Amino acid sequence: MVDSTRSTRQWTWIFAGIFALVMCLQVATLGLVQYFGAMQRRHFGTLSVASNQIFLIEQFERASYLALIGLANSDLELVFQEKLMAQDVARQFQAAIEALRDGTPTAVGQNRVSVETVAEPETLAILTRLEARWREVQAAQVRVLRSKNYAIAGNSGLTELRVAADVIRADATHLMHELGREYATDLRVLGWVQAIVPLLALGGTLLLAGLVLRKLVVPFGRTMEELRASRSDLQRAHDQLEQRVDERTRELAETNQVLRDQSEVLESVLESMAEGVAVVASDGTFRVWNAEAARIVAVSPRELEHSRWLEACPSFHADGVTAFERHELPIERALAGEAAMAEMLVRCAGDEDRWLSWAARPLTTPRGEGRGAVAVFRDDTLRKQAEARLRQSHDELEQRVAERTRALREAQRQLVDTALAAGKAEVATNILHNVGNVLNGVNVLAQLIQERLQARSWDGLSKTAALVAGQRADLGRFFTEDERGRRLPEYLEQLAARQSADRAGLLENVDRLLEHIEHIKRIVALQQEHARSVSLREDTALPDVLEDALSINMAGLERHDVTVVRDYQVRPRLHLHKHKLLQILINLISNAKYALADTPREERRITLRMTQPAEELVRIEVIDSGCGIPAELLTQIFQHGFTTRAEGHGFGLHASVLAARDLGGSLHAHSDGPGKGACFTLEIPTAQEREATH
Amino acid sequence: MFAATVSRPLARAAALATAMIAACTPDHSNPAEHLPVPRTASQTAAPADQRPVRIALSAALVSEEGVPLYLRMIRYLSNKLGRQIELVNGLGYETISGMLNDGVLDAAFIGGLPYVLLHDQPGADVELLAAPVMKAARYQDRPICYADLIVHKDSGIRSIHDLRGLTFVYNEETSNPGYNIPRARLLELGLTDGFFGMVMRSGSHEESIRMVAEGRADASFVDSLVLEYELAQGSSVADRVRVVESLGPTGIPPVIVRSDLPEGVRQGLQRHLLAMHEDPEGRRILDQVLIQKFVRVDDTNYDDIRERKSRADAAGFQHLK
Repeated sequence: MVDSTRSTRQWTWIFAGIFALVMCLQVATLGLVQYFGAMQRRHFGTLSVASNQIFLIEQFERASYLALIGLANSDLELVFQEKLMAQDVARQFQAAIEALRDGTPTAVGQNRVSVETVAEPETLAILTRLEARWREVQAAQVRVLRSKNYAIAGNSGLTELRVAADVIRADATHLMHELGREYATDLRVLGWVQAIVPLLALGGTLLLAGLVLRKLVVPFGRTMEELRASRSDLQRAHDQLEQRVDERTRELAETNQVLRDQSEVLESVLESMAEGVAVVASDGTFRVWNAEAARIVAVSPRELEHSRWLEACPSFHADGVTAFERHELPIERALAGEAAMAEMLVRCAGDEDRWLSWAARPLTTPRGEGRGAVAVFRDDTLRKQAEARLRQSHDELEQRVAERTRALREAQRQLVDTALAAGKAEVATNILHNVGNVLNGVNVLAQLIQERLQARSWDGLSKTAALVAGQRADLGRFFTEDERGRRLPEYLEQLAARQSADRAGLLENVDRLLEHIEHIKRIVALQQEHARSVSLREDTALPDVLEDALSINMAGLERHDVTVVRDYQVRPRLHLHKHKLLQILINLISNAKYALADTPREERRITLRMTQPAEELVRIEVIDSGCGIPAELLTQIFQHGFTTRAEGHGFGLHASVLAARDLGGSLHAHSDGPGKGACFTLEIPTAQEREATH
Repeated sequence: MFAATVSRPLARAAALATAMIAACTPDHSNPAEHLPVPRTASQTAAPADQRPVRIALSAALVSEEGVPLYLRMIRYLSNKLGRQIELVNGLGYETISGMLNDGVLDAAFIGGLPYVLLHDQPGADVELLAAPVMKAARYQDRPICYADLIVHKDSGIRSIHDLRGLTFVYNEETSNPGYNIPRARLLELGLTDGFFGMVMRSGSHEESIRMVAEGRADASFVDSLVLEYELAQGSSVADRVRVVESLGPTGIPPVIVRSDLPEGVRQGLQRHLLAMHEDPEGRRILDQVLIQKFVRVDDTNYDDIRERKSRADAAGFQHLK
């Protein structure tokens, strides 16, 4: 039963489809017939308008005649009527010409007809000529009616009107012929088309029915079977789909719950935030306003648009005087798409001023469209007050630091002066010490000479002289007979030899004495020269300065059997304060000599090395094989007053460091430890541009 | 003539077409608006207060080319008045005067001299309704016009005195600027003894301008209103003439009505004419015909015309020669 109902329904649909197709075919046929019919009507309308022009010309001519007859008979009512008639005819004529030219509907008699646009150039030319000649006909009529000649016969004006009318009538006839010729083929074809179209429609309907039967009905039956077969598949798919929908619904519900939870969390976060948070919609109204925001501003967000912010909360820039303009508000700038920050002084209710720090950012949809702005602000009033207090304290501290700095600078200047003086004193001490060393030699030699002179007995020569003087009366006999006289020449020869040896020894000691004195003289001369050039930079050969420093220390070095090794790998000349370099080197060599005091004599060695590790730098190293320096003292030895010697002052190295700094260079010490010697490295730039300031 | 000149099959097709269209096409048109309805004897015999108001437009104000603009003015007045108005044009001054006398016409845009002749005749039945004031400065905001003596632009004529023995054309004998004023001028100059070589009648100022431009006449006195309208329209004819002398001012062609026209219609016509320049649509129409406004006008405005005609009549110098 169910299958039978289903089959009936299927066949109903098939026949309905066929019926619809046939109806469509019929409608299309009817449309074609209507289209061709309209075209035919336009052709006939155009021809009727053209033929009516001939009729209008005759009417105009006849009305003109009658008006003239009215004038001749003084029937002015007739004249009026016919003239009015002629004007109406003229208006129709002109309207028909315009309709033919533009293809617009016009009137023929009591009827309104559609016309074709005249497009053929030849026909259009006739139309143009017709219009021009129509004006001539009208002008001729005016001349006739304004003339005082009312005669019908022999009226030249009337003849002129007749001729003009004949000419234009011929043109109108020509126009009708042309249009007829133009449309004749179209009309014949249209007739055929109208006859054939219904037959084609019938044939098309039968063909369609056959096609429908073969291509639609049979496949439709098969399709229905397949549909039945696939229905169960569809049911299964439907069930699966429903199951998936249920699952998706559950997921959606869970997601919603998560979203609600997140929303609550977000809300609680907002409410617990120490900053005020405000969200503004695109229209400028405040939508979200957490508790802190309400507390800070004390204005309800529902009563507030950001345009009214300035009214509710007069806001000023950081100077506390310049009022915020609306467009400067961070929220307004964020709505314009800009991330904005600002500090503002807000005069809240009760004239309480609050410092608010704002940070606002635009809010956008995932597609990048603006959806408002969010602003975070906090009450910085307490911070501002603290800052003000801090600033005041800072200013006071700054002032105290400046005063203390000035005092320290003064002390430092005095200290530097002291150190420099101490350095000079150290050099002087060194000089004196070395002079003392030489003087020791002088003293020893002088004592030696004294001892020699005191040890030599001059009595033998005196006794010999007294013996000879006592024998002056008989010297011959004395020398020949007296034993003493005979031995006297031998004694004198021995005495002379001994005197000669003493004299040579004394002369040798005197020479050494003079040599020592010369040494003292040179040391003093160096010191004098050093004192003279204390504040001048001069062109200086660095090996010479090293030699001078050695020379000053030479007596001590020799006395302590110190071997000096010169390792001058470069011999540069620099324009510098020579005395400062000399001061440093005397100090370093002197210290090295003292460091060698406990070193076995055969191992006492000082190496002076001069290198140039870079174009702009000269390095001088004073290396000793002495007692070395403990690592913990390496950082203290350059301090003012630090010394390891009982007789030391602790000024030398400190002054040397300052002098090296004045030369634009540096002084460093290195030691591998006690008993392993030490190396003091002086580095000075080759370009000495900076003048010493101390 | 139609049957003789049109081929038979084509005529048959045209007749068939007309019949088909008549049978198939519904009539959506308003015949009164689009089609000329021939006046029958019964219509012509209708009483004057029931038939349409009849107005004539003489050639004194504007050439035939300007008639469509005056048709717009008539349509405007018809709408304002709520009455159908019929306008005829292309008739001579004397015909229009006769129609006014016989009651065929109810009103007319008429020349100054025809008005004077109608008004001054015994049992005169017309009265002044209004007169235009032209926009050009030479009209001094008054209802006046001028008679312009025109010659061909290439001619050597410098004054009216150079016209002796030449061909003069006038529009009509009852035209004030075309006939009355030149006649008075010749009388004033004592040139009444056959000054022109030939005198011709054209029927209208427009035709007179054309004849001078085409060399068919040497000179003519024409209404300044017609000449200015032609020049404003860029007429190739008016461009070929030049003005040698302007006479006037003289009373401008007025709008007159028959005295027996119903009071309501008469006053309505006058009211709408006088207020036309204050109405936007009326203002546009007036601008097109170079009129500033219509004003009430007194009969004394036309005394100069009477005076010139009287002098000519008194001197027996009635015809230009």
